[in-house]
Amino acid sequence: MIHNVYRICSWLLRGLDRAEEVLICLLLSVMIVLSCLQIVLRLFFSGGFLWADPLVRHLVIWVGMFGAAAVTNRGKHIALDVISFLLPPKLLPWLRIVIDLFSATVCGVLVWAAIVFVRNEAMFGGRELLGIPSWGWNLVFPLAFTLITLRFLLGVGRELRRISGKQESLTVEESV
Amino acid sequence: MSFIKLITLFLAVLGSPLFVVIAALALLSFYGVGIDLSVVIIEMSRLSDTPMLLSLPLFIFAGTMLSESGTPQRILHLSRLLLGWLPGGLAVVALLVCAVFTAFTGASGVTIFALGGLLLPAMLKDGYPEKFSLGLITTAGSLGLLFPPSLPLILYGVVSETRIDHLFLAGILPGILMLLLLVAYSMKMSPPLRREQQKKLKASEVWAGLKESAWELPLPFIVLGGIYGGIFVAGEAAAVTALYVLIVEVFIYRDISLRKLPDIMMKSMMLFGGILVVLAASMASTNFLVDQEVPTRLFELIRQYISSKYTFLLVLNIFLLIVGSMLDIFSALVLVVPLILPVAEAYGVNLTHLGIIFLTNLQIGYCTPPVGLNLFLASYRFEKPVVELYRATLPFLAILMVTLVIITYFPPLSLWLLSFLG
Amino acid sequence: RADTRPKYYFKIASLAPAGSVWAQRFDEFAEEVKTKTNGEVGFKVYPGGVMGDDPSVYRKMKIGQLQGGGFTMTGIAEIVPDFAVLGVPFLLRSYEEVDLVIQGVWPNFKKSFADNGLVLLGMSEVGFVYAMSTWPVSTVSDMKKTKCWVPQGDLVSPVYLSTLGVNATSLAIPDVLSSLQTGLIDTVFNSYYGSIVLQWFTQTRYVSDLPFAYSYGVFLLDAKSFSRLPADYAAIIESSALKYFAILLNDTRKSNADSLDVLKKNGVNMVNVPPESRKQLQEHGVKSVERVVGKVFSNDIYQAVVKRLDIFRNNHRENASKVSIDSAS
Ligand code: NA
Ligand code: NA
Repeated sequence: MIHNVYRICSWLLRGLDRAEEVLICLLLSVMIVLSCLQIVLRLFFSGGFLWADPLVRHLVIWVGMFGAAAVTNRGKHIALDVISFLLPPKLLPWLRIVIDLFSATVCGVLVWAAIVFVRNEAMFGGRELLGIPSWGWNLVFPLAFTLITLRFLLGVGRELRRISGKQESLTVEESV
Repeated sequence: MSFIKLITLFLAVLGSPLFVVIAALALLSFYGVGIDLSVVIIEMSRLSDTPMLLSLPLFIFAGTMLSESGTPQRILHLSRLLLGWLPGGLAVVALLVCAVFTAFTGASGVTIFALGGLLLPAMLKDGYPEKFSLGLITTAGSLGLLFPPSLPLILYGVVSETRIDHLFLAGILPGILMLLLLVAYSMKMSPPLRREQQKKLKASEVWAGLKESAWELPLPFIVLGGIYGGIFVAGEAAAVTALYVLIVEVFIYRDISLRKLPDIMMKSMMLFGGILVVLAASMASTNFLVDQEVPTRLFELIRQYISSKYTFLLVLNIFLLIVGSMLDIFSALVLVVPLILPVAEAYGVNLTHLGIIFLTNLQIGYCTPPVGLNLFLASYRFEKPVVELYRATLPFLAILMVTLVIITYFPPLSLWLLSFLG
Repeated sequence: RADTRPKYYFKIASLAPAGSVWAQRFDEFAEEVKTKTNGEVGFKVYPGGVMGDDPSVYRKMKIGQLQGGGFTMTGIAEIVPDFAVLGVPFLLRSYEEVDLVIQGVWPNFKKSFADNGLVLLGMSEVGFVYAMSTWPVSTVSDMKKTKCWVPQGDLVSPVYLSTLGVNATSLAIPDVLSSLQTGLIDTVFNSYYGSIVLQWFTQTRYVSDLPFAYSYGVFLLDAKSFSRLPADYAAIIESSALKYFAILLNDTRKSNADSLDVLKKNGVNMVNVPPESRKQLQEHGVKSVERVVGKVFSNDIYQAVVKRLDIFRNNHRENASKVSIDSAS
């Protein structure tokens, strides 16, 4: 039973990872093409789209925030690691759990702050772009921070399973 | 409250993601003065008003593609053909190629891993002492941060709201000075050429090498010519570079297959994402400092002890060298620049010049014991104890310090080229 | 620190740099309010855009980090669209018209801001902006050949320029000078004083001698914080604001007048715009209004402005004819 739930979850998570990958590649491609198109339009047709530059600026945030969510998956955030090598190796998994729990808590608060922000944006207005109101463009913050929080929690789960000796079965499933 | 902050800092040195630590401190601080926490996200959303930010992900993407392709080998090959016959030629080649390569890819370790692996065996084979070779490659791993389109230079522009086209110009002469001093030292330390190495310059080989790298050689001209020739702004220059590199590496050289492209896109956007969240979190922490008028009070405090601009710059350099040896360059920039900028401005320091001072310091920080990143990367790559690398880089470090002094106390070196911009 | 704060404390953000006329006059205003309220009302200014651009300052007012701000028209028009109405190119033609129209629509503006939880206390101005170019732009057909800049977030000028057949590039203010230098754009809009402050005049050696549009800003307080004040304190703030923002307006107009001399001394040329081109440009202003009214700002506010303008221009014409009759007799 628990095993099945776990399998469904990991299947869903892999789907999420794939969707994220597609989104990031798509956003980056659009950014490149749109910026180059603007230059061509300006040089050869002395024109261009007024919406293109603000759009690209939003896309930069989207691609970066989801990039950050992807980094969380692989535990490769910029960190200041200066004394953990002093700890005995047996303690390291526990340290990782503490850090992941702490990170999940902080990012959880950020999700809440982002929801308040987006709600305020929806209430008090702001510039719309291509028919999408400002709160729509700012949805990236609650979405990405939710994903990041989720991944820190998954990190905790992974470490706990590893400590309780289920490491082998986990790596097999992850490699599927 | 301060107890929780203390725990947060403890978790920071235990290896928590830096963006989490900064965000936590910002959240706690705003909570402490009763300001709604959504201010943190308001500050992060301000990043979408920053036109220059676009050039970061695009140059990162272009740089990642370059480092995953055959470009390093081709450029190295061509440089050796052109300069290898000189006494000390290989050392000069190493410095030049590393500088150009770091400018395009950032000092993310790529230079040491991709080029260092090719350069070290070649230098040893040509009779260079091992200690000298290791020191040179470790130092060269972050050389070129002052040359356009280096990412830290762009990030300084984004954080300080200084013009990036100005920064690009300002970095060129200081960067060349640094190169020249290192080149002079390297030529002096190089072993004499053996007979079989002499008279190697053959026109046909050079021509073949040039033809081989024909698509890569225009890159610096696309970046600089585009910006200063009025064809596009810095953000667009990044887009053109990205598209150009993509076409060249995927369709012309075919070093990168289309199927590998999504991987490279992911890799580069994860790198960018890691930088962006640190930048976003620091936007919030900086805003707290501004709200509480910390920069103003900091200036008032410092002014009591330091009256001259030159003393201030001396203290700043020492401070930045320490910061640079502890923090990675991106975090150091986003955390320290907002704090120092108003103070430096009050002392009458030109902000473009300040940027060059910052970057020179942080570049030196890469090779400063005990925790300079390059030392660890080289130690890992060449399987040598870190302590051996400490010793190997010392003479190079001394040269970098000399350039730092010149760059700091002779502003025209940074600002002279700007005067041609009108 | 919190203990030493005045009882009613307003944190104000502005894009105006520290030491600018805006900041100086605001300090005087704050000082007067402080004295008259026995130190119970205090202001703290965050100048130079350190709190972000106009929309960010507005957001921070909504969550209570800030209690007020000096806004530019383009920035706050995102929230209060009707405020953009005076920025229509060629709508206002002289400072006399400006003063009369603002007097007339002040209650309308006051209400629009109040609907968004903002208290209107004073208006400031950049002044009339002129087309400034790297080459002499005199006629409408010249204008069509320019590579024009429009401010980011401005919704009215791009419509005007496109009805004229000019393609505009939207850039943030900090990017303008470099784009002029590189030739990305060759024509910008600014007041005389603004072109000196931002150093744009070093590139734009030609100024088309025709006020293109009126550029202005506003000082707002958060209604929630304002309503906590005792009535007499609120009245003090309102009257002091009117006083000092009137002085500020005079300062600005004087610096613009002085700046014209400075520009001329620095070799900037005034380019004459022939009458038929003036007429064409003005007519396009009316045409572009048809495309933005009801979309960018409401028809009500536009009609209110037009009504004031008509009264003023009719009086003016009558006066003018009276003068000519007087001199004839
Ligand atoms: Na910052
Ligand atoms: Na470092």
